[in-house]
Amino acid sequence: MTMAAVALVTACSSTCRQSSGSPGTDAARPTLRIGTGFAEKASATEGLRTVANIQTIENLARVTIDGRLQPWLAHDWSVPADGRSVSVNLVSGVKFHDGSPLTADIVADAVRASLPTTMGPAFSDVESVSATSERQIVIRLRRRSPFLLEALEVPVPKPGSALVGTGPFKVDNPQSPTEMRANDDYYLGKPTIGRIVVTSYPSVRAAWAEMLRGQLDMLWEVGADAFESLGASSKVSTFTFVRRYQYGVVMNNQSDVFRSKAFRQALNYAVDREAVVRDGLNGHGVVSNSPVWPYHYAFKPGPAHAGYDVARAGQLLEEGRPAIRHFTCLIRPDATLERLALIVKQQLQQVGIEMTIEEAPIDRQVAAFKSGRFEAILTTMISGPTLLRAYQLWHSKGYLNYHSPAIDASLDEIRYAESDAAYLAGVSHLQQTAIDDPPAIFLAWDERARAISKTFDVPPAEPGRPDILSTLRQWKPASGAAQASRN
Amino acid sequence: MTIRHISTRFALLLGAAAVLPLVAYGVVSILSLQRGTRESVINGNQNVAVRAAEEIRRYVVTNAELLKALSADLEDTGLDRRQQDQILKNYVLQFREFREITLFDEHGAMIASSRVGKPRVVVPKDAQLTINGVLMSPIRMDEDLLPTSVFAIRLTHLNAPAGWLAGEFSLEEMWRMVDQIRIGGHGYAMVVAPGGELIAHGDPDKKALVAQTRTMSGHQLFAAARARADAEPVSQEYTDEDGHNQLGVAARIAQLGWTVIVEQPTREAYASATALARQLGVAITGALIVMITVGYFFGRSFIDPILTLQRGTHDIAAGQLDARVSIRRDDELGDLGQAFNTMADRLVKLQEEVKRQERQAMFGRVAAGLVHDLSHPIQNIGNSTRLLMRDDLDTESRAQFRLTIERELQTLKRFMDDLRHVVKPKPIERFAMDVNGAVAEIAESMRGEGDRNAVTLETAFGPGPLVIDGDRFALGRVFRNLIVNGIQATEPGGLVTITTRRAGDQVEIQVADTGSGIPSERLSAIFDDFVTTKRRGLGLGLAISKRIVEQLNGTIDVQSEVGRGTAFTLRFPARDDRSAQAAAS
Repeated sequence: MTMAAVALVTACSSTCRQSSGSPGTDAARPTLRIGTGFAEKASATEGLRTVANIQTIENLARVTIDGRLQPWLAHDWSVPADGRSVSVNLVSGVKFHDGSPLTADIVADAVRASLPTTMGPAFSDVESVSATSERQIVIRLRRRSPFLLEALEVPVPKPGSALVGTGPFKVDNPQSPTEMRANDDYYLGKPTIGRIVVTSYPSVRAAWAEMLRGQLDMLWEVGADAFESLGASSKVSTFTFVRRYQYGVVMNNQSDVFRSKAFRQALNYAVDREAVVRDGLNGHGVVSNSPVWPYHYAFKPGPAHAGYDVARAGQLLEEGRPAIRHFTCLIRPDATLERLALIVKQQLQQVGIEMTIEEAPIDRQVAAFKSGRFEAILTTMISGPTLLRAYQLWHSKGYLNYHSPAIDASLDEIRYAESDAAYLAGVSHLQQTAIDDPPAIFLAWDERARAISKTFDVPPAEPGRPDILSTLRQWKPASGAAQASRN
Repeated sequence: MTIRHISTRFALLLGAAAVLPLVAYGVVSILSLQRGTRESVINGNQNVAVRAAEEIRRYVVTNAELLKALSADLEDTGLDRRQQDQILKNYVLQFREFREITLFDEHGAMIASSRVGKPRVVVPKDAQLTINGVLMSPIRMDEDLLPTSVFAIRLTHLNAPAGWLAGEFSLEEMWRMVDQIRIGGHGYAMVVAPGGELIAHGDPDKKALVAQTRTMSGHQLFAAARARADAEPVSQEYTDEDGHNQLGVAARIAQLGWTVIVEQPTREAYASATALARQLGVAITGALIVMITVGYFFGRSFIDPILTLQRGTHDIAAGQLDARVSIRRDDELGDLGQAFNTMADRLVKLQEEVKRQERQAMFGRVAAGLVHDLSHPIQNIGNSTRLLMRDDLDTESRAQFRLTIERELQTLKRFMDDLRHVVKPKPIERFAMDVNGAVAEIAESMRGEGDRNAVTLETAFGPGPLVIDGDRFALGRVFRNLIVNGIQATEPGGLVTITTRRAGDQVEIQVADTGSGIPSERLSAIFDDFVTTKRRGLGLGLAISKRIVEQLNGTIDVQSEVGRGTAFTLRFPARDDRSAQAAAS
């Protein structure tokens, strides 16, 4: 498993299929012009595909901000007392963009295809997936698995057709998914916006300039560095949201320098995460010290919280007397990561630890994770909002190839939880383990914003879904005072 | 133009004496206020621009000095490369204005850098601007479309060139300072590079102009500021590209060649002046209203008595002598009202006196008239009675006198009836009658009267009979009255002529004299009751005559010429039917 795979699976959330949408869009309906800012061509292409995916492909269920599952294409589901199966009933009347109906067979195929990736090592708990009727699928398990429900965030594309789904918008050309048209047969109602045009710019700033010039209606994502430029504009509303992406310095416990958990603990205490967020992310982030999504219903902010404690760090280092007090941290070329790395480096210097920062492209980092030949990597990890994400990353069979019996034990405790209480206890243990035997210096959850021109009337985000995109199909041209407002 | 109404005059007086001066004062005050406030606003904005320019200059110079201080730390201090690298990395963390600081050797090779990867900054050897020994490159846009510059300092070792320290200086950090320069709600600052490139814009909606490398070379205020030899701020009002009127002030940063422009919508800039002018306008308008109101009521209190007196005068003139005015004041107008009422009271008394005198005169005239009208029949009766008492009177004469007495008694009776008729008119009795006969009879009876007055009485009858529907006695009274009037109006030797004739379907009787005539101004009233031209008589004769004639569907006209005589003409519808002819005969 690679970091690229992590990014691809979590950001794209869909496999690529063929499209066969009907031609023609109502010219009288508004067009939403979205701009994205990606410096690299590969990122731009992936970004465009991500934008297209979100609007065209729908999932069986979606995860709300607190980590709970919410039905989407699934009308509901039920779990028997033994927890050995999940019966999922589908919403009726759903059609793909090509007009073909959504069937239980198609969903079963999609689940079968998706679960190995989305569940990762936990997929071994799944025995079978089958369609039991036109509107129902049953997933049989070898053992009870809370992760299965979290994995129901399965995208359901049309088999064999890239970017053909059941979503409110459809893509004309899957090879160049820069234009989408409204799916007038959408089962939840015809979108007000008739067309979406996505344009990629070399930077968010460039897209922002275009937006303020009236050439764009929305910036897909605005990072911390551009927040302030947009903040006071009277023409643009910004809607912030905390991404599932977590900044952290992964410490390879197989390397000599990080073999000692006391050393890793000391480094965690030595880092002032508040300062990291303030100086590195311009205040646009949520501090973290574990892989658990801070808004998850099982997250415990109190007991497991490890604060910034230079004295404690010094004490641990004094007691441990580490032979090696320096390490090399890889970062990929990115201004924000570089700044975060410099801040961490500076803070670690306060306790006598020297962190050498070295630029390494993403493929080199992936190779490093795979081979285990690295000391530390500062990167972004998709670790929320479900615990399944953390499991996929940090379990010894997970993407990061991280080996820690303590971490494995707490993650397995969650995986095999027989009850809600056991699940909560498992999450608590994971948080505590992340402090006692830390696999990384967890820094912060990334905060981003979507900037939307006030020429659009944007309804509030749906409950439990802070991303304003959740209401995109209901956006409409602003009239009078009804305009988008800052959240 | 003649101003007839006193109220108009009073209004003009009020306008000329109070309103116009107040309006003139208001206009002058508002204009002065606007001019003063405008100058104050411009001065204030210029101060802001100058201060902002100084802040920005200090900001840039301070950062240049920072890099210079860093170069001193690195110069001749014996630091190894790792230590230098560490210092540079810490520096960019501490001073966010520097996105990268790199130390180069004399050949341009990197020694240490704040960057983790390959340095981006290069030494700006073409820099034309030097700040305290620090080279500053021209402004350029980086890959994020942000304006940046590069500071570079030449390092020396033992007085020999030993490399360069170059720092990428992000002007985005300066934006925060520019963002804080706000005037009012919509007044923003912008910074323009020497070549006209927009470096910073305080308006959040216009920051994109920086990213778009907008040139301000064509901005008239920028051009005006650049054209000045000194660094004094300039100000202008102009319309921007969005069509908004702006008050712009510009101050140059001489050391950098930059220009700070502070722009504020004129509507907002002069809002306080407008508000003050509006308040002053309201105050003046209020004062005007108060003044006009007071003037109106005062004027009314002054003019009303005059108008009341005017109305009272009109009423008195119209005969309403009971009209009085009520002017309850203690001033001259009150006295005038009292005087008016006193005058009216006096006028009533005078009128009553006049009426009393008129009544007395009328009573005299009535008495004289009675004497006049009664004396003749009584005299005839007396004469006839005396003659009847003579023994030598023959039978025929006796019968004649008796007949005369009876006729005159009848006349008296009818006269009395006439008097009653004046009070309570009696209906006319209509019978067919021959006018010639009636006139001849009356003329004959009046002939003696004519003789006594030496007036000849002539008759000329038209071919007859001339039959009309008439009341013989009533018409006899009319004829007699007209003949008597003619005799009395004619000097001795004069002539009274009575003529009858047929005129179409009418019978016309004319009594004309050669008397003194009636003045034309009195002609119209001679048929009124109790109006007479004679010294005696009731003045009822012609009035009764006219009433009788009109009751018989006839008309009576008069033509008179003073000194030539008077002619009364009576016209009655003629009756030509045989039965009437027979009855009349």
